[in-house]
Amino acid sequence: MTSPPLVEVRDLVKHFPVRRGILQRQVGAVRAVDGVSFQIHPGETLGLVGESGSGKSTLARTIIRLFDPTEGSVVFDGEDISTLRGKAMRRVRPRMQMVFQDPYASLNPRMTAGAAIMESLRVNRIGDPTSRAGRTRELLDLVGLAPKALNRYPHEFSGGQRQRISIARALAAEPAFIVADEALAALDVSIQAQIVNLLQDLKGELGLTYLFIAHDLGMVRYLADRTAVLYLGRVAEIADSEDLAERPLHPYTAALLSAAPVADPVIESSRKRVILSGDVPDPADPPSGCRFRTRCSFATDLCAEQEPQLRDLGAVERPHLVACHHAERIRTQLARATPTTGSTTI
Amino acid sequence: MTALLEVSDLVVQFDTDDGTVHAVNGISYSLDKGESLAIVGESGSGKSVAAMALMGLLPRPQARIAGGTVMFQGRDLLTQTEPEWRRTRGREIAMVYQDPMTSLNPSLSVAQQLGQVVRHHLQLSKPATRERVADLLSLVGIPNPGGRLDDYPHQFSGGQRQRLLIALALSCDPALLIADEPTTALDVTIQAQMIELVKDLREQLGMAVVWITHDLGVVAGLVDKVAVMYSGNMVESAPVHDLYAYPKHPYTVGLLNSLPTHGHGARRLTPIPGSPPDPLRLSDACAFAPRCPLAAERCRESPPELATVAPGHSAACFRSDEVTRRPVLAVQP
Repeated sequence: MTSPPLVEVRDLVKHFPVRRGILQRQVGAVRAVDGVSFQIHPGETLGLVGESGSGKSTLARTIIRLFDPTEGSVVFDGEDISTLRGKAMRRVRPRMQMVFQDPYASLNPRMTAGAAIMESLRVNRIGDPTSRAGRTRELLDLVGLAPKALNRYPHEFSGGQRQRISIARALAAEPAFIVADEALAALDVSIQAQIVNLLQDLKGELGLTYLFIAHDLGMVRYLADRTAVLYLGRVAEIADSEDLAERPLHPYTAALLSAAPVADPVIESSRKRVILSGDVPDPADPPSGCRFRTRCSFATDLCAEQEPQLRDLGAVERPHLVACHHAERIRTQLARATPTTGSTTI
Repeated sequence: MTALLEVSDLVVQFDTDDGTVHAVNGISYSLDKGESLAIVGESGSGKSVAAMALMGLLPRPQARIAGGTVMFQGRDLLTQTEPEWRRTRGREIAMVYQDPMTSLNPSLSVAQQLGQVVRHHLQLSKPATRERVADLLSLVGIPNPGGRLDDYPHQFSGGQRQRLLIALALSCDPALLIADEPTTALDVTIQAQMIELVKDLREQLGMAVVWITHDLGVVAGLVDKVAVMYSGNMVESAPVHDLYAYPKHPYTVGLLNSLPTHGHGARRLTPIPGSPPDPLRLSDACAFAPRCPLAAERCRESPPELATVAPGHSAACFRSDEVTRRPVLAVQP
């Protein structure tokens, strides 16, 4: 990919202060995002995975400036947007839109589907009052809803249909970049597949770029060109989705993949799982050195002393970045194990 | 040998202002001692309502059991009085719920919370109760169990809270454990821990398990047999390997094909078109017909009965001979 990136995240940091006492003095900080860098190219889908508390949502929200970054910058389409204010920010806003997890909570129950989409057009100053009605109908059609949906309220729709309305609302702003934050998690399996196909079609038709956040690794592998794995506010590994799924180099990625269930009893009964013990440590007080070392079976003294930086262990033109001191050792161990469909075991 | 649990023609309805909601329309299944069954279905399929009926926990007076029997160890649970239920629940049949954050009492310590159940059912002394609770904590893999007895739920992590719920459910050695989507709110890593834990405990304690889920992926490696529910009906029931390899109902095929089992951009997913029917209207035809790629005239006229298609494998479909996992793709419009 030689075109300049659409989104470039540079050393992004987002800390939330922890305050205590009557004077509400700051006693610490939750380091939700703690130095993240990556690029998303036009027309690409970047998947973002990690456990709860890994900072996925905070990262996404900081990128589109729903949060102000503590440090670092976000360059969107060649322009540093991390310090933009007022009119300048309002100009950029419509080009970055978000689809949220819960289609029950993200739509105003007192607004019809038509009014909700129209509002997005009006707020983003797209078209004039007369053209907006027509555009609203076009948008409904684009997301696969019948025109009769215009005058219906959110409670009259199913979960999948509501998610379609949310997508239409995001598209109304004519964005180049869409963040889908667990946009499938609240939907039934059969409906998830409908929305996935819709997202794929829209990407092709409108040339969209996605940041797709999900905990379902199978879905991320299917949808995303590249995948970034986040652990305690830092990128553990980032690579082509297939490479990452078939040949993970970070023990955390390997554990995530092995934990993901496969809908095949033959594979399930034969595979060996890497079960991670415990939970994600407190992001206000991350472990020294490598953040993953407290749950890692490969950890050595080096891991406690030195924080591993992202290194490229991929092939030419196919970068595979991993932040682990022992990635080479993990690669040789994994090469000996036979990979199975949709999962990798070590 | 008689089955541990035998559910026959269970019908559950809810009376609402809008009319009668037909939540469960006559489902039957049986479970032997130590066996495990997954009930798979999407939201509104009636899977949780069917489980609540086994625990005598349906909301009254809205819910009405309009027919059927639930035979458990030779007696019909549905005719039990409330005092009889109190001896059954927690002692013989126990349940683990979806949300570990809201299913524990935040103002009781672990010793008090688990101790309540143990003392009620087993009439143990105070020191014996504490000992039993500590044993339970170590059984579900909570580190330093003795030192955590007086901790409160908020002092445990999400995964540990789910372990506490499992400990609570296991406290009186139930013969049957019902798990209602116990891993849905959890991360995949914690979900994997829970699945391994339940598998181990089932082997250790020999209890039967009913695992309710919407995710065919989760139960593939966990249960002996699977029942698929759609719109209050059981549409297919089979041993776990048969169900995934030779599904005989188009809905099961639809669920399997909705999962991305292949790599990046391999092929388009095949979703099930449309959405589930309105439970207020009881269908006099096959409830899945409007979304089914194989639906024929006959399917829109009368409802198919659950019929045996192979040993231990039954499906409620007129055209089950024609259902196979892949070729259905070609029939999709």
